[in-house]
Amino acid sequence: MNELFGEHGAFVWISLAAVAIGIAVELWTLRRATR
Amino acid sequence: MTTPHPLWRYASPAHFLPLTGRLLPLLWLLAALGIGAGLTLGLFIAPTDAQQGETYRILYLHVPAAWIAMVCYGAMAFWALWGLAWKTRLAFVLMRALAPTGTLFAVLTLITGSLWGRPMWGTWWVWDARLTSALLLALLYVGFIALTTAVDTPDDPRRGDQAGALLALVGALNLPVLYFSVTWWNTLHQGASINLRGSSIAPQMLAGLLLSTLGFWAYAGAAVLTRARLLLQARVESEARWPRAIGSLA
Amino acid sequence: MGAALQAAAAITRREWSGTLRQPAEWLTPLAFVVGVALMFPLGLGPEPARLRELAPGLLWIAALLASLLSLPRLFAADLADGSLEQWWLSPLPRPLAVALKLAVHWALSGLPLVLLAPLLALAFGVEDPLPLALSLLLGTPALALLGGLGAALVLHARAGAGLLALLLLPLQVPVLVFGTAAANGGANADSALLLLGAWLAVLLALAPWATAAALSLMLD
Repeated sequence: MNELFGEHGAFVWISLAAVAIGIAVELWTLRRATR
Repeated sequence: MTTPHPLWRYASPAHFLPLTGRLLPLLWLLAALGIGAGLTLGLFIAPTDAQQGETYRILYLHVPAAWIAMVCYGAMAFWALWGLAWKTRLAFVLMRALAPTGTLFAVLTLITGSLWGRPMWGTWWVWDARLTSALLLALLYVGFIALTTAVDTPDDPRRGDQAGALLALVGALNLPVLYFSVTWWNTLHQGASINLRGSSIAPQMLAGLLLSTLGFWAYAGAAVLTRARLLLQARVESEARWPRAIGSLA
Repeated sequence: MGAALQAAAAITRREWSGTLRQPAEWLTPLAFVVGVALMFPLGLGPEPARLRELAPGLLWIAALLASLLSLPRLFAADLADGSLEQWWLSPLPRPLAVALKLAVHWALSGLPLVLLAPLLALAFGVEDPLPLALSLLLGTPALALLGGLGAALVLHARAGAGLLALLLLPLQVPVLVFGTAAANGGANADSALLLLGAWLAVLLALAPWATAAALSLMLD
């Protein structure tokens, strides 16, 4: 898993995580406002 | 008496809400498919880059984010101008709806850019023209949100609308000069510069980039329209409160 | 025409005496710049060569920050005592009224900096402070014009200098970039000064008009 994106693969994973978290937060705020 | 152009009816909530209601499921689907397919292609199927190894794959996130951040601001300025000129409520609603999404993608541009630069060039940040401009774009968004929330009065968003619209417009008009000055400043001090791809692009890379870009575009559109619907409904409700509060017959 | 000139003279006189009567208004930016200039060696170390190299840029930044200090109150007093609406009724075109007010504001808060900063530069070991003075001579009016626009936008908000700093920074970047390049002298200073002058001319033409439009919207 660690070697999936080469020796610096962690950076790719963190980027993915950042995007996923950002989108999740936005969707959550939109959902909260709908209620 | 000339009849207004038929498209104008979409400025009314009675038409805007059903239209976006039908559009949104499609956009969410496109987002999921585009991002899913694009990232699968880009992250797992596209070949390793000759010069940059595996970490170049961050580009599949960074490039769409940068585009969306920039275009959202342009769209904000567009709706700002529209709202100031024609004073429709929907224009200002769309302008405000764009800001949080734009901010998110501006910040993601900075984060992914920094994470990409670190393994490539050894530093977390470089004060080159492009990255410095990206940081300024993020500040433009934050400033817009700060101003509109500071000027807003409860139940009456009009002042916040107008102040925000002016700020967005002035900021947009200032952008060419801003970018020129930052570029000029950078050449002055012979700063480093992070260059995007120089070598050839494999077809899977291009396909992955296109698909993920489309997917993120669809997501941004869906998020903005969802927020716009919420804002519009809130405004309609608060406007309806006045007659009821005064005890009108309506 | 006569009525407009009278109105112009009235506005100018009022701004001038009003500001002079409040020493805090025009002394504060000067004291602020001196204070910030004092912080630089304290924070960066007293090594003369480095201070001499950094001084023009640092003093420019200090001047930029000082220009933000009086902005929140710029139009607030006029709004409170109703004189802002008076302008709107006067025969003087609104952008001109705005320009006059900003001119007086600059003469009392920006121009003194143009004279003070070179003295501070000498204290930092800068041999020729003239480029710094020239760049501030063109730069502080530009900052004042932008500041007026910012102050108009936050007319009804309880905004501090912090919010104004945030809003104005992207607008001030060109002024800062061209100004510091001109202040540092050297090969690029001349073109930087020209660019700064050109941008000031653009701002002179557009900013009062935009500020008047903003004030009109905010006064509705």
